[in-house]
Amino acid sequence: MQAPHPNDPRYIDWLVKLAEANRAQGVIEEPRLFWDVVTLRDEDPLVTDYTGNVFENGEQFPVRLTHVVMAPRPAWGAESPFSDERLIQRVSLRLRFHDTFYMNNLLLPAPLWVNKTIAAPASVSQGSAHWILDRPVILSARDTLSVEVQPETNALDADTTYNVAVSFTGVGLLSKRPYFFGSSKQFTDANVNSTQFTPTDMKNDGTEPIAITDVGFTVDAGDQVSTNAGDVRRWRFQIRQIGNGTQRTWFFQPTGETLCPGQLLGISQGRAIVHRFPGDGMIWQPGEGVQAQAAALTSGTEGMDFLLGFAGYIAIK
Amino acid sequence: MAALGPSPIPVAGRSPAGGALYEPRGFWDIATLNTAAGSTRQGPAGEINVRKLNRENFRNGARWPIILTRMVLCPVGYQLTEFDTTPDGTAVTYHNDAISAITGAEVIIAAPQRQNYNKRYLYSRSWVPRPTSDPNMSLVKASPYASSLFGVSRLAFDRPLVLPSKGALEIGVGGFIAPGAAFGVLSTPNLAPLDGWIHVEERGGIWPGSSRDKQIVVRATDHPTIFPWQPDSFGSTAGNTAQTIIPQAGMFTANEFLKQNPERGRAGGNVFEAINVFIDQITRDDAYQDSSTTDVPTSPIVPLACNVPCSARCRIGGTGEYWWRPNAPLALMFNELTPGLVYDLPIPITLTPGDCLDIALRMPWRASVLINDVPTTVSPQYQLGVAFTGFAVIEG
Repeated sequence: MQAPHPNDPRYIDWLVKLAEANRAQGVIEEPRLFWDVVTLRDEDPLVTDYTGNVFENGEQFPVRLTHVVMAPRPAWGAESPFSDERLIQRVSLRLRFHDTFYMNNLLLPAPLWVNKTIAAPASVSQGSAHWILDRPVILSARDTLSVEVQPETNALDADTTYNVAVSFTGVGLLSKRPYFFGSSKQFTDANVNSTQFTPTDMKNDGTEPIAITDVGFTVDAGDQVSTNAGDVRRWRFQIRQIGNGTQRTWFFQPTGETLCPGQLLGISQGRAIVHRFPGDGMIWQPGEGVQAQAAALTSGTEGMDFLLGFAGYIAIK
Repeated sequence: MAALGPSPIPVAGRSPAGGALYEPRGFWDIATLNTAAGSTRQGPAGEINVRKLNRENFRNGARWPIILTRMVLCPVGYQLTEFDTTPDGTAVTYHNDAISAITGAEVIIAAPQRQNYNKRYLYSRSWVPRPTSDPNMSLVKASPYASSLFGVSRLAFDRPLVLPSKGALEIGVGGFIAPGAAFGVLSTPNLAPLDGWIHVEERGGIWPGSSRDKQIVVRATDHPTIFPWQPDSFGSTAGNTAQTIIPQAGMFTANEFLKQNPERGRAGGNVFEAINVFIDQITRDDAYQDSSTTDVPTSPIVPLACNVPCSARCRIGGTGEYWWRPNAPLALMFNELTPGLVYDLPIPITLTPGDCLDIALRMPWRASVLINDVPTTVSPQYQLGVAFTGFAVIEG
């Protein structure tokens, strides 16, 4: 049965039935987002090499991918090229899976991949990223969610205090009542290390399992700016369930970076280009994956870092 | 890799055993109202700010029923989304923007000699539209004037379109009217051709789907008289005199469409679900910041989707009929991602062969504003596109 829209009155019933069915069969479903940075070439050949084994399911269980997400990654600091978000229009991309291209053997401009409306109201559009999970995450009694946050390099202004917040929405499997979890932290440019939100803020202290359905990140512009419209691109995040679940982080990057840039997490509401795979998406069995090639379409984007991500969930029995 | 069983989305279309074919359809017209006294674009006497649209443009002249599911309102012919300047008594400065046209319109929909869909004028600003917009640019510090973040328009079919394995579509995107001298001098010519793409999505294959794509060129043209709409109060500029409304450079022809068939030899038809059109107007947006006219720089710019015409039809397979009267504004017919306002009709309207709709628009009238503390009558002009979109049910 296709999931009803979250605004549909039948949504909660569907959610509870799905979670109970999974629990009865011993199935765990957990979000996954595979991401990497593709640096566009600034010399011939302009098309990048294939991304190799970057976007690959390295776990022991199948992963269903439902979305492709892409966004430019600006450089911050004194010299900040590629800060214009519109430059995403001048990036082209194609994917390859078992020697078959998607969506075309041509490298297609990123805007052609848009098939999902993710625009938020203007007041929060730049400062928030929201993901309605394809499958709920079951937060059992005494479980918690570990959420880390870190600013991008040189992204914070001096002598400025920033507020960053995370929130989760869920439904009780027994009571069917809504649950809200959230936490916030303050940052200055003096503290740019990865920090964890207070775990007890996201702990299920109750007696019933909770199906977590949404995760959202909200940031502000800092206390030195008169208009408080933040920029989620300045921040990176990571999530892991503690207790039940797989205990693994939800966002994967093959080398180096452990936290995922905030703009890639706006899969339901944000400012990234979001492409929903038709139908039920695609499944990566263990060891399967896709390769990507990208190219700058015109001058102004050569050398730009381009973020590419595949979002979905892992199913473990 | 395998997709998880059959798609949950029913592939409604021509099954091997026969059945209905669903093709996109749309009806549209442009309402132009010049509030200047004596203007030939005034409405009939009595309610002089009412525009009754030509009912023949909303008539189902085909042999099969057409089910309309959405209504779209879109300002047409404007250069700026918002032109916030002190009115000086000229049409150039008062309500010469897209927001003024669309927020002032009120609509009545009726089936002639039968019934009204609504008996009172509907305020467009109080009927909740679908979310169809790009992420907003107005709070982006570096480029609050930018027309949009992605520059893409999308038409998602109400029902998948199933064509034979060698079926083909033909889609065209035209040029635009460049602003005239009232827009001010630009240091960068605003007539430079723009890059664009036409993209058609289909289902099937080892991936969940695939696409067929064509790169196009979108150019300025200086023929406002051949366009179905007029320029706004900024007027028009001489441009490409040889260009037709939809030139060859903007066409995705059936031959080109066929050459990209990814499923050659596969039994059964091809299932098409959506079309995206992308126009890169970043350079044009940035060039508009060079205008010498007060307040034009930094004013949000209208996406070109509101100002370029388009056409679409099946050329091989399907009915071969144009899906809508050619040269409709792109933003008016592409109703999934568009700068226009898209409303779901609470109950779809079925137009049987020969049926038509009567559409009337009531638009704002001339106003009295204070200019240097003196009440002054200003006579703006408004231009709004109205469309109804849906699908035809063609019996196999």
